[in-house]
Amino acid sequence: MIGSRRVPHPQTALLLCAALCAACGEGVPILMYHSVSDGGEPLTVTPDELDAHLDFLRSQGFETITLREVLDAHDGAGKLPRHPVVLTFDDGYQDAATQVLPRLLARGQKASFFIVSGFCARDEASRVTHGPHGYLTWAEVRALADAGMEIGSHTVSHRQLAGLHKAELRAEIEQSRAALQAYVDQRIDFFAYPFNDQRQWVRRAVEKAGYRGAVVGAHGNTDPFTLQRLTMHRGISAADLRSMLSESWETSYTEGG
Amino acid sequence: MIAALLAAAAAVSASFEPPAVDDPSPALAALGPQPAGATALTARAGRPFHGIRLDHGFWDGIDLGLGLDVWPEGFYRPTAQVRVRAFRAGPAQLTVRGTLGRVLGSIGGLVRTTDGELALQLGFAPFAPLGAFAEVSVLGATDFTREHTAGFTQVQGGLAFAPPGPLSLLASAGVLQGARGARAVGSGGMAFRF
Repeated sequence: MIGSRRVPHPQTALLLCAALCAACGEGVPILMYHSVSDGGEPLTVTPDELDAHLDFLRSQGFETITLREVLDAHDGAGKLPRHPVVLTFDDGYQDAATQVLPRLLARGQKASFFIVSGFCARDEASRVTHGPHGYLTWAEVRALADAGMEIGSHTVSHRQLAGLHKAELRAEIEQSRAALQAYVDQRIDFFAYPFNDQRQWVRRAVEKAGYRGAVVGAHGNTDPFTLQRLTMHRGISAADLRSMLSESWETSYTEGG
Repeated sequence: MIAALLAAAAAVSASFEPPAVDDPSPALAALGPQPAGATALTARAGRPFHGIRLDHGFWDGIDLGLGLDVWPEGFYRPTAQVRVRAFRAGPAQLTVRGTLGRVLGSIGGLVRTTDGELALQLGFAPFAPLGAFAEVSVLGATDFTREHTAGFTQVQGGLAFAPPGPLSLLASAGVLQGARGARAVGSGGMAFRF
């Protein structure tokens, strides 16, 4: 992952480009996780890897914050800590409750969970499973929220939004939000595009539905509706994470705090 | 590194005749570039880093320097620098400065970048020993990956006081502007010319 993000050949021209591009900045780093288990899928990190990541963040002084805090600071309504980072977990897998939440609570950290509302079951007996994965029940989603985690929408059925008719698109975006707000005691302000598909009309629909912001994958930026995330996959060590989150002394110095 | 700089200073001073520096404006000379044949060892303390630098004037209006910047947080940056005087007219001079450095040392959350700076400095010395300057510069830092490449701008003003003798005093203050904010920068120090 690190290698794939590297510029193929070092070019000194980059330095001049950088000097001339003082306005091009990175925002708060946002990490994108999915499932946390010992399953072998590329986007599934192991519990040990998550432990290493969370311990690294804590030891290096990174403070986990929510997307709401990021946009509050963006809007001038709050101040970011010196080393902020946002942890996000997509899809609402059962291990969010069994593996992720206990680890976060043990370290005093928080995260944002993007839930596919249509996959949330009423109770354990009706829990939805796809292949090796089970999904959260509504009680578990509520437990995440009650523990201080941020809940966001990841649509009703995790379909490719760009291929949907207008009414279906609206339903995916609005009904998931309504369902989540009905079950958890917090306002649902953030959205994650399934498959990171964020065409312009999809973005507009999300904005029009009243969300405050949305996250994408690697091809985002600091715009509130295309917030870029770093993909966390199996095999990323704490040392890799250090490299991903490192910054130059100037960046560190000028970020305030 | 400091020992190496001092050794280099000794070597440079031994290989050149003592300079006959008869600059009509010693304050401007203190701002640099050093007159041909002159060498200056400058030490500065400030924020965000402290530094020591050795500059030698190889041609009229051009000097080359080696330096070491040290951060209180525990990392450091060897640098190479060139200064070229674009013009001097009476009590004013315009100088272009280019600096290239490499951040070294181990500290959590800090990437080892190659840093560059291109600065334009306007110096003005209404009185022979006393000068002032204003400087704008663009800075860049990169480890040649997209995510660790960033640009900055900096504006500084300062004073130079060069009484008769080999010592001169320098002070500066300004603002370093990055994409996520701005912070005050500044330093004060002393230069010894030989």
